[in-house]
Amino acid sequence: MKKVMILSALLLSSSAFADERAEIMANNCAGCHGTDGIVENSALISIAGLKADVFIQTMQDFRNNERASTIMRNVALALSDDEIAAMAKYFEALPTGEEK
Amino acid sequence: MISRREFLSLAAAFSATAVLPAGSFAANKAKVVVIGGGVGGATFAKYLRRKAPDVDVTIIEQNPIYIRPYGSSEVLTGHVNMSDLEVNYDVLRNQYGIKVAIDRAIGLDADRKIIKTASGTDYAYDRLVVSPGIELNYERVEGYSKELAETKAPSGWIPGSQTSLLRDQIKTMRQGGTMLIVAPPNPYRCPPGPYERGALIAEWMQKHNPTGKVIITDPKDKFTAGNNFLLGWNRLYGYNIPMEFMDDMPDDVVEHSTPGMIDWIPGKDGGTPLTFDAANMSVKTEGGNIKADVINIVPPMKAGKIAQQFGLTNEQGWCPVNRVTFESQKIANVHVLGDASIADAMPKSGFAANTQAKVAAYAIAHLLAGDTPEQSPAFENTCYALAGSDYGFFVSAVYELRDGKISKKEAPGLQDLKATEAQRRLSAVYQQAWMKSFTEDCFA
Ligand SMILES: Cc1cc2nc3c(=O)[nH]c(=O)nc-3n(C[C@H](O)[C@H](O)[C@H](O)COP(=O)(O)OP(=O)(O)OC[C@H]3O[C@@H](n4cnc5c(N)ncnc54)[C@H](O)[C@@H]3O)c2cc1C
Repeated sequence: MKKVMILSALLLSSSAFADERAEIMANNCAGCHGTDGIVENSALISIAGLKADVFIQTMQDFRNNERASTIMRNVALALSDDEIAAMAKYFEALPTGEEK
Repeated sequence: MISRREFLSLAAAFSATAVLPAGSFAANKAKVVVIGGGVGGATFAKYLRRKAPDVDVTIIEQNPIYIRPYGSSEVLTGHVNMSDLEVNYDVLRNQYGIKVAIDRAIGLDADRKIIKTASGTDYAYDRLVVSPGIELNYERVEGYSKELAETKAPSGWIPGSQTSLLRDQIKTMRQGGTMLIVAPPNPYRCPPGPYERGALIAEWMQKHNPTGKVIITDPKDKFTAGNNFLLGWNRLYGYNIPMEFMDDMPDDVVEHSTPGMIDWIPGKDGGTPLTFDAANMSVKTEGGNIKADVINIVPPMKAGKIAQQFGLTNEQGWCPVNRVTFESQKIANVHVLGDASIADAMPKSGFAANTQAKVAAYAIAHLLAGDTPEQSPAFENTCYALAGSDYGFFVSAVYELRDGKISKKEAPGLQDLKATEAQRRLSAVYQQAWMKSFTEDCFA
């Protein structure tokens, strides 16, 4: 939990991160989670519009093996806290499938 | 009204010098030409149009329908049909306003920035992107040739008629027959591919040819996700894992008393292929002669032929590029993506081509606008692979630039050998789901 709060705090200070880098990193998710984080009729889930704290918590859980996964544990371990925070912010701002 | 393309071809017909430089047309739109509408080219075109809608993007692709290589081994077992591999360009054309010319690029005038095609059309560009995939070097296996690959011993590494020929050969193979897969040397398209193919065919044989056998002969001593494959083969097809791979294996590995359905001969045990004997349907390896009923040779490969013709390749046959923009180190204003490019730690996979294409699209949008691209891009690769239809695992990595090279970020890159049955099943489910989500991200 403590880690999550530190990560959440980073959200506010992540301006050091150029927005475009967050977008570039987020684009790497699209092969599975869809262009702009929306994938339809799939075993894979959409991540557009996900609340940033949920995104961060989920990535933490993947890292710590508190949530079972296939590739996501390794992806979460490869990303830094700032990168996860920047991506969380990016995906939160994307419209969900219904809003689009 | 006459289109610019018609104008260009007309102009070319009148005089070789009549082609206007790209920037000088009325609307003054920047022009990007993409050779190859496969994974790299299609993804690039889509993401460039999203990022820079006023750039004019034309894909030159030789085939009207793309046949995706990823997932094509599933045709061999009848899990999918050839038609399931087909992808069209409708959405790229209609929704993204990308021009898709079904034509073959044959010439480059790098000074005047013009591409020439088989139909006689000239395309002017400000930036050229080349994503032509691979060329199979059949002749590098002595006795093998393109002709033999189309008639007798298919490779099926670029999917098409060789894939369906191979499927038919497997289907009609005699009971108790042997299928031989000849694996290629590094580097090559889809590192886990030959081993996944062998596993899927072994699974098919369990049902349809239970005394049949798959042999994989290999110039290499190890391969991507090797431990995961060997473990899966042990569990599913009675394969005995060599001692040197036993280190981290889970407790349920068994020593089978009879030979299994699948065998892998690494280079150190004589697996390196030397010659193919078409008349006797056999392959001579360093270790001896292997006779088989069906022979699938995955030959050594190089960057797609057009990249070689254009002078984009190095001595090894691959294209050195700047890792931020994918601009060729050989020819200015020309960029190379996907299998053809040298991307350091990244494998030659569709996922890799797709994330490279997006980075290049953003970089080129900046270059066309006259500013600087993001200097620390990130890439990813995820390849789910199967040892059986319900038995999946994966290779995955995130990449960043370190000392100008694409390097893997520190993290585990494979599925844990102790993964539960549920996790293996889930990997297999995601492998199937990915085929669709990925195709959409590239082409729709
Ligand atoms: C059996 C198998 C399984 C695979 N499984 C996976 C997987 O699970 N995951 C994964 O990520 N990857 C997988 N791959 C790899 C993946 O398919 C390739 O890495 C990917 O297609 C590379 O993209 P590309 O753009 O470099 O080339 P391609 O997708 O091959 O596209 C090249 C295009 O260029 C066109 N072209 C070439 N020359 C010209 C010319 N002169 N003029 C016009 N057009 C031209 C071709 O017609 C083609 O359409 C697999 C491959 C195989 C063979």
